[in-house]
Amino acid sequence: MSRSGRPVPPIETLVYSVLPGLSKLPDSARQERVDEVVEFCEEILQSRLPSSLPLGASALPDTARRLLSSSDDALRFNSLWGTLERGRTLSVPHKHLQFLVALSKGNDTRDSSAFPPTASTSRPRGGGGLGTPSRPGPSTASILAEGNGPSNLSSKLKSIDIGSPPDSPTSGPGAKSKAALLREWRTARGRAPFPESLLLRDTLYLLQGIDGRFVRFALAPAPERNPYLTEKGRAGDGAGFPLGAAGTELPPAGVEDEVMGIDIVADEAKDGYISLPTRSVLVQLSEMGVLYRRITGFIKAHQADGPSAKSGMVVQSLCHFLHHELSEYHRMLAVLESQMSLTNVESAAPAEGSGLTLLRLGLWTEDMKLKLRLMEMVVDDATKAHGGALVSKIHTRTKHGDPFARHFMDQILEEVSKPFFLALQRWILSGELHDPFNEFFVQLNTEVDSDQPSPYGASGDAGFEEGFDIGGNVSDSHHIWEKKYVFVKAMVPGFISEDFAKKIFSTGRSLNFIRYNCYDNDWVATQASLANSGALKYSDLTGLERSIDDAYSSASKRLLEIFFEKYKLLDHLRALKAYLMLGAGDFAELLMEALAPRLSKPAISLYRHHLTSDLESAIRGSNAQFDSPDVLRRLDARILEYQHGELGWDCFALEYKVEAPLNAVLDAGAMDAYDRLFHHLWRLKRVETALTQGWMRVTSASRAFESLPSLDNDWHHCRIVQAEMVHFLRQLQAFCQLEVIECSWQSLMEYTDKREGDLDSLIAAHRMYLDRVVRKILLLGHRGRDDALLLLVREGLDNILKFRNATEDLYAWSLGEATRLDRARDAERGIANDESTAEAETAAIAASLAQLDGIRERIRVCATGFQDSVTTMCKEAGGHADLDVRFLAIRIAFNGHYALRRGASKKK
Amino acid sequence: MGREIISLQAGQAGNQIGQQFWQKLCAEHGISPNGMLEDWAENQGDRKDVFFYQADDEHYIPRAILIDLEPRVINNILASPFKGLYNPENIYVSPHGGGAGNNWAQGYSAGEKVYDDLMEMIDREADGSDSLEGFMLLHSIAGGTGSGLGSFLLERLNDRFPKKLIQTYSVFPESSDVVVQPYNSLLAMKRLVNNADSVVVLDNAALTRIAADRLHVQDPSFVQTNQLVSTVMAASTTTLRYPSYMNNDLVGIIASLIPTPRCHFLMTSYTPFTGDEIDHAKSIRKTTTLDVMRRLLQPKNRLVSTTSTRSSCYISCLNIISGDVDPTDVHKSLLRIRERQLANFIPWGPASIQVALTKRKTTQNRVSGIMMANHTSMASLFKRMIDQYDRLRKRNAFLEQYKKEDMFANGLEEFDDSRRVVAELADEYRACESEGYINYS
Repeated sequence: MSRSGRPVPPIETLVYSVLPGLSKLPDSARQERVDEVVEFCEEILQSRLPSSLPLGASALPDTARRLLSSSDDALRFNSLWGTLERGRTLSVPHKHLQFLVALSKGNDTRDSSAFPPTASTSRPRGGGGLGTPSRPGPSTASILAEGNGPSNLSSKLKSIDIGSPPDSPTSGPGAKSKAALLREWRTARGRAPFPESLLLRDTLYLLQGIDGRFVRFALAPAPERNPYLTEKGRAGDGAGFPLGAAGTELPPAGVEDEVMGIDIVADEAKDGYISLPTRSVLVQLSEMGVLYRRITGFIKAHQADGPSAKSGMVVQSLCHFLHHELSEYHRMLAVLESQMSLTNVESAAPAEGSGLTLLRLGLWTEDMKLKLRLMEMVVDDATKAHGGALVSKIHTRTKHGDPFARHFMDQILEEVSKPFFLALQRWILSGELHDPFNEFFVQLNTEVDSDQPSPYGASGDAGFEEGFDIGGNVSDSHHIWEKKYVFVKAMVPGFISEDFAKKIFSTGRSLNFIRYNCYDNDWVATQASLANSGALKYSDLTGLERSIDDAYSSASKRLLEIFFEKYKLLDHLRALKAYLMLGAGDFAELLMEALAPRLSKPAISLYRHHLTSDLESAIRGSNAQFDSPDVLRRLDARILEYQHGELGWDCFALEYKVEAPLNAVLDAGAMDAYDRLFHHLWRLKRVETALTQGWMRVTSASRAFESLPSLDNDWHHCRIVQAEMVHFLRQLQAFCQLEVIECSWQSLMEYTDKREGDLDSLIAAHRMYLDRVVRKILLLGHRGRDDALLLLVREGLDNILKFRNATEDLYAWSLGEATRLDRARDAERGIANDESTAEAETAAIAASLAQLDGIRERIRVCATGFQDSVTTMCKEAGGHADLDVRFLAIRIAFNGHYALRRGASKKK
Repeated sequence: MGREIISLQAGQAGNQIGQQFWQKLCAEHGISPNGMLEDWAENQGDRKDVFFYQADDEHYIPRAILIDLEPRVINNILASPFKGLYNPENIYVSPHGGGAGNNWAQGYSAGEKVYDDLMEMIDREADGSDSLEGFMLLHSIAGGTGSGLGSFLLERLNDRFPKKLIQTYSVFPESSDVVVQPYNSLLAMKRLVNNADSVVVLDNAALTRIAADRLHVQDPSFVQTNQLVSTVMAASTTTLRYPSYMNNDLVGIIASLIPTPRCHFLMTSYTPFTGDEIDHAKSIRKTTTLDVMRRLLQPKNRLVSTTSTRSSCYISCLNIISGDVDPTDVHKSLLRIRERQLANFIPWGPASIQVALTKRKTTQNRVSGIMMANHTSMASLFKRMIDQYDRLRKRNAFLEQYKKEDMFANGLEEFDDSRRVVAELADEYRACESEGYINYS
């Protein structure tokens, strides 16, 4: 391009091709024109105007690529650019590309007037021979074609003709800046710069978000809008906004008039020329306007529709803050305006260093622009997030390296978090959730209906339940405690750690529970008034932490206190241990004694009133009578659902009733577990009683049947087996009571002595206690599901009961045999009054001997069955995951009896 | 409420022990010497009615029958602060006041003479209980009254109350006590074998030894050894008086300790004896649960002097631990005992140590424990008894006094029969040490 001064035919042809109109002129005139154009172009090319795109050489291709709309084009560009760069066709390909990029930019803004049409003439593209990559998409040529058309173009060219050529490029560069030169040159060509004062006024309008006369906001089409509605609206049909009339606030502020940038609608031909730098200054300044519009739009949207909207308190306070900040902005604008009018009054052409210029405007509003930007970011956040999440988002923005931004964000946060802290304060001081817009990280669980009837409400006699809630329903406090409020993690503000938030959650939950489920309003009220010292705020996070810690510990402590003191939780736990886990041995034995005859009958013959009266007498007869009436009235005997053929044993259950709020800890699940425990322990007790009676039988048999030496071996054998059964049962019971119940109770007591944490931790401690007891007593295996051991134990117990029946039969048989022998002896002595024949006698003897063999066989089967199941159980328990269960295997036989027996049977 | 136990205390030793026993029970249950309940003692979770009943004026009265053929000891009791405690109708002192002259036969026949009076008392007591569980006889087997009259009572109780348990606390003699004690003991032993369900054997020699070794009391008085015995008695009945999960009735305890009916002679250990229980005893330093459980297994803490052989073993064993016990400590102690094989058990069936915890509220929460065990070394005691008898019998010494009584008027078969019974018992205990016991007959 530096080959100047030597017009060569190719350039001429280029000129012709660009300006085809020239060819119609006579030769001389044409030549003159061509020379003139060429000269002008050369001048421009030599003038070293500052690049509008001061891009690095490396970034240039990228920029170009980005301009390309499709990836195909980008690829093509890549390959072309590669060959161009490597080849030597162009010495400095970057410059060409830069030029082209600049051109395309001019095109993209559709600012066709931004470039003088002559610029296109300088484009080397037309020659094509230079090998410049031909660029797809809209080109400069099309721009020219678009708005102005050839005729217009030629008129413009004429204007170039008219204009005198610019000052010789050789004129001293020190005298005037190039910009000034350009301006002069332009002015000289009738393209006077646009009066800045007008632009200034427009800019000020823009800053207020209002369209100026020459500069306007360019609105993007609202994509979300229903085209139907829009068209109708355009059609001017009044009924075109059916939804809008109904008050839907469908398009949020930002969407409605999304500002894309600015349009400069000044008629440059008339009013003057707006240079590119000015434009960019305008663009930059207009950004504030855009921001302002968004912010005010946001404020309008949220303040206008009031608290009923889904905006929420946080957003409202954000609006308040923004409003406050904007008033400052307005003040600044007022100052600027007065400055401008001053400038206008003083002189049309502002003197250097005073008055308002676009550049100064930009400079002075720099800080404000930053603020606006930050505000806009927050506004942007606010449209996406809500309540606590919004606070959290804003909080993340406070972590900013720029102290100015940080400080400003802190200010915002301080203001914005006020409603949050207000809610927080109410929550942790009075347990009230005051959060109409669901902004707090604690939210009411709408699924919970506190009046729902509990499964316990249905069964049970009416008389008993008068002490319960009105309506006979037992509200399930556990459910309320667990589910009434939910913790919304997303809503936890960033400046509060999750643990801490959990603490807050628990505090309010405790207070709320104290209030509505423990009916201790007064305490909460006093507590709230006591603590009402200082408002919580964002800037005092350590204070916040302290006061929350205080509130947490006092609320939790109080709630636990209520449970332990007012509702005597410990008494109930003790009662459950004493009655349902049979800890009160005298009570259990009396109950067993009273119930045993009834329970041995089919379940169908059981009547609840019999059971309850037996229960009553067991209570009165034992130390249970000294227990508090509140505990005793909860004890109840129940008949479970039974199937045909089941015995009373299978369906009897002792029940302990708990109502709200105790059932927060002793929830339905826990009571189920207690039921299971009772069932198992009761079964053990039953077998124990049977064995004790059996012991009396087999022991007294030794004295009763001295006359039957032939049975000595049988009885001895029975005793040995019986002893083994007693031993097994005793060890099993002792294991349940000592290793399991007492040891677990001990650790529960350790917790209750300390009373740490909140109700949750109490519930957890109790659950742990209960789980441990259930798991170990029922000898449950892996994850509490594998009950193989339990089945073995049951099998053993069943065998014991069968064995008991068999020995009872043996006893009866022995008794009969002894009588027979007595009679026989009497007969021998001749005092028999029985005339029965000898044959009948022998037949009877044979029958009874057969009967004896049957009894012996039964005893043998039961004994081996029992021994097998215990042996297997010991083996299985020996490899159990639970150490205590493993110990049970050892405990059952310190002498390793079962291991030895197993070894012996293996050898066989 | 049931499970009452009626105590019968016969003879000098029986009544002296009984006196201490009731003092101890009164102290534990908070019953004053005149039978009134102390204020602190209400609703402490105990069952006073096992051993006491309440008179119309709310006085607590022991279910005790005091029997002696000479008035000295009972007079002492009636002169003590506890004179108002007992039901005067339950005290039988022979009107002759001559005693049984350390002669079993005399005591036994005296029993026959006063049978109606005694049974009247016993029946009255039995009728006064809701569901009588059994009887507890306190006596010594060396002398005349406790041994002879006691034997008579055992036989008759067995007949009259066949379904009630009979437990005895029997003090076995030192060799030097009474010249004819081998006769008396042997004859009484036959009744203990045949007519009692469970016999807690206490041995004077061992009591003296423990007093000397454990309490550092040389030459202990009767009061002190009786206090040892009463401490053991009180401890072995804690589970009956302070109900908890298990062992709340006598039959429960016995059933687990006594697998076969004849081997029902239990030995006991108790630790630690302290000044709180025994007058003028040196206090022992604080003991841990493991200490207690380990010491209970040591022969030197047994209240019976038996000679263990290498094959001696426990048939069964029950530890009752009271005081402020951490259940996990008990668990650990059991593990330790098992690891170190501190105890041998029978080879013919499963056996291990049973532990019962009682939460007796006492002024001091020291851990203490009692072991009740069925141990085969008991055979050595019977062997010794037979040896002593044989030595005396070989010379036919001191038999005249016996021949005076009806039972021996026509011969001394009763001696031979008693010897046979005791020898059989010793054999059965020996047999328990081998696996063949399963088929023993």
